[in-house]
Amino acid sequence: MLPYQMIAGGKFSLTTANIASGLDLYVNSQNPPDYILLKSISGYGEASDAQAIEWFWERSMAQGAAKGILQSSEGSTPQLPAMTSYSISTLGISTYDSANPPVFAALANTTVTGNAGTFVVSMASTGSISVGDWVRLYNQAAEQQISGYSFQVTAVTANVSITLGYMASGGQTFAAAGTSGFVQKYIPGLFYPHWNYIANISQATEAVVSFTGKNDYTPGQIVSFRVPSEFGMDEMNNKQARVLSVTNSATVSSITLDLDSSGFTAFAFPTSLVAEAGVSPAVCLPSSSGVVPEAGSASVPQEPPGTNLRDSFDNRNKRVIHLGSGLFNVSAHTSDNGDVWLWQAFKYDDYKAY
Amino acid sequence: MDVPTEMDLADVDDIVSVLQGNDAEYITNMVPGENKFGTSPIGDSYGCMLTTRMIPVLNDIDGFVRKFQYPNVSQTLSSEWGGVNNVRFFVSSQGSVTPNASLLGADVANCFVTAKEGYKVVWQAGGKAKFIYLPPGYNNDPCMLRHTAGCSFYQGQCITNDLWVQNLRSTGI
Repeated sequence: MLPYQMIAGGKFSLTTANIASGLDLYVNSQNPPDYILLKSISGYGEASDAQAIEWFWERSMAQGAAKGILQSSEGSTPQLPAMTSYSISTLGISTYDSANPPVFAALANTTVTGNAGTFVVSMASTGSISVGDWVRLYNQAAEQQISGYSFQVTAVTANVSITLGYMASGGQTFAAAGTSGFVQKYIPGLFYPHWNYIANISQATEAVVSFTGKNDYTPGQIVSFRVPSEFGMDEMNNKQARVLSVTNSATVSSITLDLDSSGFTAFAFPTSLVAEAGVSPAVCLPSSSGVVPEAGSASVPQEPPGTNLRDSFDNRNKRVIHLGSGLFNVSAHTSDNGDVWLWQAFKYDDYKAY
Repeated sequence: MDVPTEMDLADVDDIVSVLQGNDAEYITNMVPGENKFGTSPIGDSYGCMLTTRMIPVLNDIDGFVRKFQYPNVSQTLSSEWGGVNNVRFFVSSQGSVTPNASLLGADVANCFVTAKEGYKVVWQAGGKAKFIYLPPGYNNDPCMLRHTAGCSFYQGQCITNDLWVQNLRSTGI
């Protein structure tokens, strides 16, 4: 390590989704950065557009904090916009190793609208939960069938509710609304491949399996299922099937299988009471397969059958710099879709704190 | 009651039953009884890999036999904690734990019980990993001030038959 080395950097273009929920940058070095700097290339000197133009985080600052400069809207000539220093304590800059991520406090929730099939979770405090984050629900009174399950968040109304849109698009409805429980935000590990919770399985000539968050299955991959009898579709338990296609949209995560489930019993979550008595979750897991047939396609199995290197477990954990949504939408200073920022991450060789 | 519960003898036997039903072969042979005080025989066994946080739960299982109680310890690994009926347990600080994943929000240990050839490891020629140490003077270090050290791993592992690798989930950790 050289003294005060820039260990990573580059630029990124903001999307609407980034502005709403932040974005992740990746650093190859597992040595955590000590100083992170962001500057808006397109924002500096831009006329008539109030926005943040610079942020930094230094290792003595709390995770999620950031300090920076806001540029006011100014359209006159010569253009001399006012600059204001600004500080945020949450939804700013944080850095972590995805193999050893930070732990977030559990947040209390009130109702869960599983009975309407919309899966909106009401919360007096949504904490740092953003769209795209993973949360685990537990001790959900009256909806214990989703306690212990993980979900990806598709919408957040700050300090009002979060929406579990992937679960909702699965199409399951419960007998009653949840009344109270806890929501724990977490950052998933990045080992590949991994298993997923099942939100629903259709009865069709090509079965569609929905998940509670985005999946990373691949067309051609063989997957296997563990479906306890309490979920109804007994026939699916321990069944293996090839993935024909994969859907990962903003609210739908599913795979279509080369498997006829039209004659199977309908898939339905157990009741809250049954779940409370003890039920294992229904999951889909990667099976022994060529993840992608080396010489084939989703519809042509690998020949001869077997495994290839892409089927092996892959540790994809990384050093992450997370840029929270508070950087791009703060105090009426909002970044725009397409704004370009530069970023730099530095490491001190000899950090002295006096 | 939390879901899952703490691992007990019935859970272990259930997994053995599932693996037997899936035509999965045992990994280790029986350790037969010998005329030694304080020892107990161990059956043909599958292998279970789990977190060290499960040690108190293991010790609480009815009939659990610690490694030092095996009639013959010549065929054991240093990571082995013991066995019960037809499963032998191997602990690691890196064992899998899913935080807050139980019904009541407790951490859940993922205890992987595997049969013979349930998974495989492929090593490239030349070994599995390499520790690379460079003394001062390398990498733009003209004053010879800095060492570097790193690891390079070149192996791959994958599941060969998912029916032969079962996840016995347990709380109590």
